[in-house]
Amino acid sequence: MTPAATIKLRTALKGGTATIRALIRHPMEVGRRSGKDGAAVPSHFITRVTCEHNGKPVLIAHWGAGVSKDPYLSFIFEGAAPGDRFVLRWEDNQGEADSLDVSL
Amino acid sequence: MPDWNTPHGHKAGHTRRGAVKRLLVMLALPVAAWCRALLAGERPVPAFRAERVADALQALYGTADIPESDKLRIGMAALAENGAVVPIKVETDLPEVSEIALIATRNPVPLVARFDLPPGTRGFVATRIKLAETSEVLAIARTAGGLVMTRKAVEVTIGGCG
Repeated sequence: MTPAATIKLRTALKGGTATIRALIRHPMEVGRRSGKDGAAVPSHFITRVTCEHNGKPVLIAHWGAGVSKDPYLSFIFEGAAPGDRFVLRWEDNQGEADSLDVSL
Repeated sequence: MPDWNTPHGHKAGHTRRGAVKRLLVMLALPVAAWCRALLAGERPVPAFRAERVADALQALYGTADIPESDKLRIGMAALAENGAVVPIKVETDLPEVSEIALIATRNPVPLVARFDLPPGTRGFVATRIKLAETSEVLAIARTAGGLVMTRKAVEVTIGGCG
């Protein structure tokens, strides 16, 4: 497993139920005019998070800038077994992306 | 099944009405599948442009008239100390939840997130959202029994400019 620069994952497996807790480092910038010179800060936020279990999607999250900076995400799915593959990938509105691949 | 007895139609056994019916049936199945795929994976772009709650609901669901249910629950503090980071969870035991959306009624862009949940994923999501000011948060779930909504009021002392 190659550590991702921006994603921390905690996975808990109990009786086939997987609980995923993810923390993603990202500015989730709304985009506004600010600063002394009034320069615009462009928006920069994650638009999509995709999670897969053994290659099958278990969550697709569509986000706007209203999700907090350094977003937290948790969800639960069934049918998981130890050793199964779990991948979380995010993409943002400036074309950046990252992903993390773990074994449950 | 062609109607061999019809006197009409230039092709033996085919009526124009029958052909149109068959065409509609042939089109309906892939369109339905496409609609399902659209709902499951595509970003609801117009909904993220809406500046009013009713417009966001209309863009997401084709209606702003969604019944409220106490079977859909929002877990969120009634008082948010920091509007930039408000923890929130949404959960339900209603069966076959395929989508959960979050709307902050007084944010400049009310739609905060939509979570698409394939079969096998529970009706539960947790995240942290920005709240611009004291307002309500709406959660809407698409379930096997249709759309349901719930709301929770939250007081925001320092706005989070969502």
